[in-house]
Amino acid sequence: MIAQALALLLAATSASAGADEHLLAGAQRFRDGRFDEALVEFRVAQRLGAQGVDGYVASTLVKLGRYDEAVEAFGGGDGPGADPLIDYYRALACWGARLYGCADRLLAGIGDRSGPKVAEQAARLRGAIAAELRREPTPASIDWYLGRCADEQRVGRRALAAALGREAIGLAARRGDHYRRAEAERLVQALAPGRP
Amino acid sequence: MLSLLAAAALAAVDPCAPVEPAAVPDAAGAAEYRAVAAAEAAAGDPDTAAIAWRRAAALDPSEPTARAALARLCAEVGPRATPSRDPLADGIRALDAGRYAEAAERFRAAREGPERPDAALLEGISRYELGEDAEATRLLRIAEADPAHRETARLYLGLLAWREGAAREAASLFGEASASPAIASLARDLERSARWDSPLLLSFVAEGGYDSNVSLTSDQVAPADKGDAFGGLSALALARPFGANGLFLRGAAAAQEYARLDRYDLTLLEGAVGARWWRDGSGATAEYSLADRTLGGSSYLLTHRLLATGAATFGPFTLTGAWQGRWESYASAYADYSGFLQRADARASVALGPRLRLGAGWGWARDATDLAVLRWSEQGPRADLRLLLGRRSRVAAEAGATFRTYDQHDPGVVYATTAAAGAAQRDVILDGGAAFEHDVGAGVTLRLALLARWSHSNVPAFDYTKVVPSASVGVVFTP
Repeated sequence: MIAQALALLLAATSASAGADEHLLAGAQRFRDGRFDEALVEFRVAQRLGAQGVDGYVASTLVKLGRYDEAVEAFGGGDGPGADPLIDYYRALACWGARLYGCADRLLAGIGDRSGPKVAEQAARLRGAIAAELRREPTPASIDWYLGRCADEQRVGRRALAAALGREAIGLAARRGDHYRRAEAERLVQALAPGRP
Repeated sequence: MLSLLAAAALAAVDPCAPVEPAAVPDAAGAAEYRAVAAAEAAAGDPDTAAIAWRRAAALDPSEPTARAALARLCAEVGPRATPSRDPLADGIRALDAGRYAEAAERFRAAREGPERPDAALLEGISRYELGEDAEATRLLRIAEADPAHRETARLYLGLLAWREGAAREAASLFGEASASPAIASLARDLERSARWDSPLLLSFVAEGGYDSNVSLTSDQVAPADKGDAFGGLSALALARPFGANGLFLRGAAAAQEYARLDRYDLTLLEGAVGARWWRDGSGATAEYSLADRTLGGSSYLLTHRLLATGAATFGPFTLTGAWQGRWESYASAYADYSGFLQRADARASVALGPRLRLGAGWGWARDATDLAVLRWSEQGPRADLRLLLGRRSRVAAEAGATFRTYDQHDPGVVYATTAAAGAAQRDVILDGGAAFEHDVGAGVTLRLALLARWSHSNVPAFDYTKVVPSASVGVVFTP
């Protein structure tokens, strides 16, 4: 599906010929399940100025199980995007990075915009997430997310750090004592785009 | 360039295979691949980096950076197969090889999309091995929901609970895990061990047997009736208010009576306080104990003892060390034996498969009695074996040799007819023992044991032999 989307993209965009070749080569490898090779081609295409390739890089990172990098590459947001298929990969990235609230919001936004297969998979994943979120979060869980948030901020992965902070806010909100919620909100505000 | 890429895409190649130069060199394209390779290597993905380095080297054979980086990368990771497209199979291979971090990531990839309890179980096991207990618990709870994986998941949940100090919960989980015949033996062993780690533990042992040489007297001078039957009862209470690790209090009482030789009847009362920290077979314990003993109904021996033990486990290997120092105050009839007794030993053991463990070590002791002629030092080797026979039975055997030397000749004793007159006493003591244990029910263990000793001395009165067969029943409660 990604490869088909790319074919349409290539027809509609005016990226350089070299970038197009790498983008198409990446799509072919992605379709063949050779995700590490696909990633190399997408990365080269990215460097050569191909437009709109970030989502494909991130989707390939999901396939490689590099969820944290994928969340960063997707930009860390959890609002619905233009492409429900890409949103599904964003949700998988969040799920793999233990950002269950993020994954749930993305999956909820896919709704009827996708085909039946993705919709069915999204529904199953939401069921698993609902089971995961049924219990009241422990302070240790919130500590873990805030600790990771600080770690990722330190190494410059701000989008991932913000996503981890938002997850901590969501968990804290589900506790009666709102454990460390204000601290998490300050962290996320500091990580907003445009802030140093 | 596209034709080259398409040709390369036809088949996956070993990233460390020789690089074929491209038909049309492209230095600019190679530079882009090199940049991607460096970024992937920095991101910690050597597989993807290797692919990019190969493309760079093919497109610009004269440029040395890519070839050097590829050679370095391949030297680090060694020859390996191209990763398969089955992350579960890859994960199992990594798990078998002990590469737990890699295994966990493979299993996580296998769990992409709808939940797979098998992959959740395996990732949970990998996370357990990595010490990521919270995530391991979450994954194992997912696997536990699937009847096909329930017992194995509970076994590992038990291990996690045990590691957290929740021994009672761990014992319960091990008990539930033993419903699976495939892991019943291991689960029952763990259940028994975990029960010993409960916050409060009570145990009672009833024992009976026959001692062929109660007084340790020489074959040459002993009376004909030196053997006697004996029976004993003992009780132990162990409290660990802060869990398996931390402070502990111990109290013990024991009584042993002989059928005829009642002057050797023994009682013991002991109280101890200590601290312990153990995890995965490694750790340390320190303890102080006060004990009072009577012999033949009369006051006999009061001791203060300091004990320190520790162990370190590396895979199947375990190194153990222990030291104890005991200040001994004997009753007036035995006052010359009072003093400071120290013992130390070191042991190395190896598990040969899941059922057999072999150990070997060396022991040392020094008794600094108040009376100089009674002081001695001893040391010698020991070897032992532990073998699980089945779900509920096991055998242990041990053998050792001890070489004891007294500090000086004792001219006052009437039996001092040494081979070399005036020489200090030297003893060689050989010990052997074997025990068979069978768990007849939850917390109830039957034990049959045989101990034997042969002692040879340059003072003939100290030559003796001794054989002690015994049977006992032990009951452990964890209220």
